[in-house]
Amino acid sequence: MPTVENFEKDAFVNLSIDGLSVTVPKGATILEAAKATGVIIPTLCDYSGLKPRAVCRLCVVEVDGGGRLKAACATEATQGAQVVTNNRELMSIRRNVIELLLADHPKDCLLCTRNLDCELQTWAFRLGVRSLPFGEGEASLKSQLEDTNLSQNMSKCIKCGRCVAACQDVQETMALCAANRSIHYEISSPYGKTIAEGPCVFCGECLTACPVSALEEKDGALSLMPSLDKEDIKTAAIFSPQVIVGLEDALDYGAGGISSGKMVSALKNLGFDRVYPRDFFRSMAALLEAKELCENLSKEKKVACVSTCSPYVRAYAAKYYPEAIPFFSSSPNPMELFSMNGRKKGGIFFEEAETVSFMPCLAQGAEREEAVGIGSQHSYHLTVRDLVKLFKQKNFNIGSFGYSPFDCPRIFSKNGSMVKEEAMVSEEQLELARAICELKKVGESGRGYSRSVPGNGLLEVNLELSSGKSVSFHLVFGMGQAKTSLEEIVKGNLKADYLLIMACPQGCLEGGGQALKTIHNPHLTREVPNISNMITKSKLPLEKEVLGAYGEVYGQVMSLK
Amino acid sequence: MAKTLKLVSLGAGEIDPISVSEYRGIGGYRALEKAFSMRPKEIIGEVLEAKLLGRGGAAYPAGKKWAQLYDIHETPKYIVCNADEGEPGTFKDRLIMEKLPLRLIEGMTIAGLVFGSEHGYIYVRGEYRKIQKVLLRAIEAAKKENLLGKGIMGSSFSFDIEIVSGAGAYVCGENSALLNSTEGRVGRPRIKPPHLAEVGLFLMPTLVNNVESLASIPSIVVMGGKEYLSLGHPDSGGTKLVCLSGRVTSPGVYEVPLGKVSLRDLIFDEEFGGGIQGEGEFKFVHLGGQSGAIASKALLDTVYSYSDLRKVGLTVGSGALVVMDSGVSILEYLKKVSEFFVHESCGKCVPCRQGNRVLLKFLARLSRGSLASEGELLNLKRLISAMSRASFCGLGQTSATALKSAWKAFPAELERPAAFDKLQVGAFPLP
Ligand SMILES: Cc1cc2nc3c(=O)[nH]c(=O)nc-3n(C[C@H](O)[C@H](O)[C@H](O)COP(=O)(O)O)c2cc1C
Ligand code: SF4
Ligand code: SF4
Ligand code: SF4
Ligand code: FES
Repeated sequence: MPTVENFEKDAFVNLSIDGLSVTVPKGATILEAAKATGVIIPTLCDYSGLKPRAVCRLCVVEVDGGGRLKAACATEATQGAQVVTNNRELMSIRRNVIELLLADHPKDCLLCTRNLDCELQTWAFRLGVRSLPFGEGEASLKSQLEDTNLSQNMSKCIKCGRCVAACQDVQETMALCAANRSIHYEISSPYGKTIAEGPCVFCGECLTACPVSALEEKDGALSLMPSLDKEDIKTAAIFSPQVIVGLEDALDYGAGGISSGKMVSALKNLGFDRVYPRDFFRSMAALLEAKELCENLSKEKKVACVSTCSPYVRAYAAKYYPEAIPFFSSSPNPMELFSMNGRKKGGIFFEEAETVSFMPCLAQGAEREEAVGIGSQHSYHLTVRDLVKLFKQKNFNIGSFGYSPFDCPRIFSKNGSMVKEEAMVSEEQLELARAICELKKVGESGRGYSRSVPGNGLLEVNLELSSGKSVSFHLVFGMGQAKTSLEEIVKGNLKADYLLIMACPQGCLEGGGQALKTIHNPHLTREVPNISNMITKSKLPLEKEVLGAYGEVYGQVMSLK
Repeated sequence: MAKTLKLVSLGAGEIDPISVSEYRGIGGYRALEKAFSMRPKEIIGEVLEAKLLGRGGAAYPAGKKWAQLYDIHETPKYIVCNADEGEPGTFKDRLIMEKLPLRLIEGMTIAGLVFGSEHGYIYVRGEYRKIQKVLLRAIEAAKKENLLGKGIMGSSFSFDIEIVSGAGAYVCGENSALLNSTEGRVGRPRIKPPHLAEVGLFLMPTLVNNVESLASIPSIVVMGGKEYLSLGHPDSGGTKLVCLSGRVTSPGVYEVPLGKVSLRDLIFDEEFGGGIQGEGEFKFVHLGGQSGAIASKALLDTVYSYSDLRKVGLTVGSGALVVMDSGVSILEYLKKVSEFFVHESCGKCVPCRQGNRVLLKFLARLSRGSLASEGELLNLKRLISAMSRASFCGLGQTSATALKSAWKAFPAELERPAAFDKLQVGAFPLP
């Protein structure tokens, strides 16, 4: 994209959209040009960050008078073009497209999970579709995807192909394809295999791209409700900061509208007995991983440690890059630490509890279903969408809640008495833990890069330890880059000591379990990756407390493994 | 005086199809020899002047296509021959490949020479297994005579041709779907632009031409574009292979000069169709394939040329002429056409995938004798227009053409089907 800095005269084109003159960078589509003028062209198969496929035909426009209609999403804006987006014929065609889709679509909008938040419904309403001229048949689609954590109801599918493009072009996972032809055309997993047999990593990219409710995870909120209401079952929660961003968006509180303190109050109001600071577990996990990294660095391994946000990435590697598995970290992640300890009386909590972690992540929730990695039957990993549902059902006005402090894990509330355990952590281990924590923070908050640009998924950082040793870190965004890096490991070419793979191409901030509205929100303020922090050795969150608890917890964690 | 004029089909059935010497005996390879003495731009100039319109169905000027590809400088360039011949009622490419494969090979080699291309592909309809073998043997024969392969005719120009077999999808005849299929991808159409001349086979500049178009190149090179043009219609030079089928007395492939015969000639003249078989009377003719329009008696005197047909809403298309007699119900015929499109839609775009099914359901209901209300007919008209205007590719855009034209020609039969239920149901052979 040309910018003011590299401005060249022929880098821009001027055209007219419904009589409004607009100048856009060369290469922009008519749809983008229309957006720039504020003209709205209905779309269904177009989706931010995906290559256009132009299959829904909702966006057709007239260019330079008669002739062939053009799909605005896939047609380049050219100098001097006269575009009409909105005449009688086009309106009729658009209505037709929706009517044709509805001819095959269930009509139970009232009961649908995407009611009032569905692109098909929105356009049907806005385009004035008030009857169904083409019959009221219903697709009885039942796909291999159904009843996995990806889809609950494929008969809602409008075959826009956004999911396939997300999986094939953005993630390059190739777990989805469009199979068959004509009215049998459907979204499927390749070669008639089930989703579990294929390469799917449950990143949820496909799912967040779906304009309707065809792709949707199992309703975690529903399964949780009974536990929350029962007196005799104790429940404990943690949540990651990106959850708040999603809630602010989905519930229209605006940036900064929900603080951690209000979140704690809201969760308590939902019925949680305890809400613990996730940072505690994150720092603890970093410390454990740093220990592993330290040990492996001293063994001069080529790749000292591979860490990933998702158990499915590991499973994917085991399937397709088994030679890389020995490099994978065996330390538990923060959610695992939390749930492993939560289920045990006398653990880091006061009492036995069902643990619930809220994250903008689908994979963690899928794990519950499929028992990859550690089986955690008594713990829930719910998405931001689940939490939105819970809050909506309760009609909470979070803004009116007061601030509540986090509950404290038992161990660090003992404070002083534990500090002597600090000796268990070496200087090098602490430095590495801080770096890992910082790296994960960058991974979580995304990177502000545009996606689907090959080679754009890698961030490389070097850290000079106080001992003079130099350690290199690779932060990988998205499965496309992950594949490349895993391949390098297998070939013995990877030039990194520590590799962190984030399954989602934009990090947790736009993760597969995020509130739908948040994904691609152009107004999202991203934390600018401040990798230099790693060098300045910013402290671990709750460093004093975590170090204090480390000795005891470390012993426990290892005994649980 | 004979109305037929043989250029592409000259010698068909008279020579051994894989004998280079017999092909030379009827003037074969004179064009390639001449082409070696011409500059590429000159050859393109002749094709432009000949006003050769693409014979695959879309009637895009071949010279223009060649000139566009010539101006693109990336290499390698590929020459692809569309031999999918998927249009029902069309069997003329098969005649060339079966009886005169060397003429096609010569045409492709000239194209290779013009574009400095080293590789050509012939994408042949899967059902044409035997023909694929003929082509392979013809390629071998040409190689033996140094007319294909390394250093053709002692020059530094090398060109090779590979046969690719289709797998029975009509949409793979659409040129971008054809390239996807050739690459081993799913045969669904691509977004255009980029045009195939820029981003074609394996993302490289590519020429896609129909068998008959490529087999017409030798005549153009030998006689020159001017003469070729003069043989046909001022808007579209040369000859066209016409495929007559259905209820005519003498079905078959005939080569006619464009603009010199009428539809009536083609159907009734003893030299061609020889009139309607048996007792029946002529009812309609379906031109250009399933994607073409239907003509009733009223249009029989239309001259067979691209522009004359276009004036009355008809097309040359692939050259198919499916003739039906008065015993055939238009509704039942349209139902068959509609079934074809429901079966062949690739399914990715809404107007075609969903629209064709709705059309078929509607026709099925009409054929059961249900009366359509005003409102229904109006909705249907809107749908037909949306399908032809907004579908992703030519398949969807043309899948309601027959219905649209038949509606004009036989409104009563479509709108009040009950009055016509004595008509034979499905008793016609679809090729
Ligand atoms: C659905 C569809 C099917 C087609 N099938 C064929 C075919 O079987 N053979 C053919 O030559 N062209 C076919 N075409 C036309 C081709 O897309 C293309 O226009 C042609 O191969 C170009 O060659 P020409 O210019 O020499 O005709 C088809 C087009 C569409 C849209
Ligand atoms: S969850 Fe991710 S890997 Fe699985 S099908 Fe969806 S996009 Fe592909
Ligand atoms: S599952 Fe959703 S995203 Fe995928 S094709 Fe169907 S409607 Fe589109
Ligand atoms: S019109 Fe659409 S559905 Fe039909 S064949 Fe073309 S791309 Fe496929
Ligand atoms: S949004 Fe352009 S065709 Fe679907």
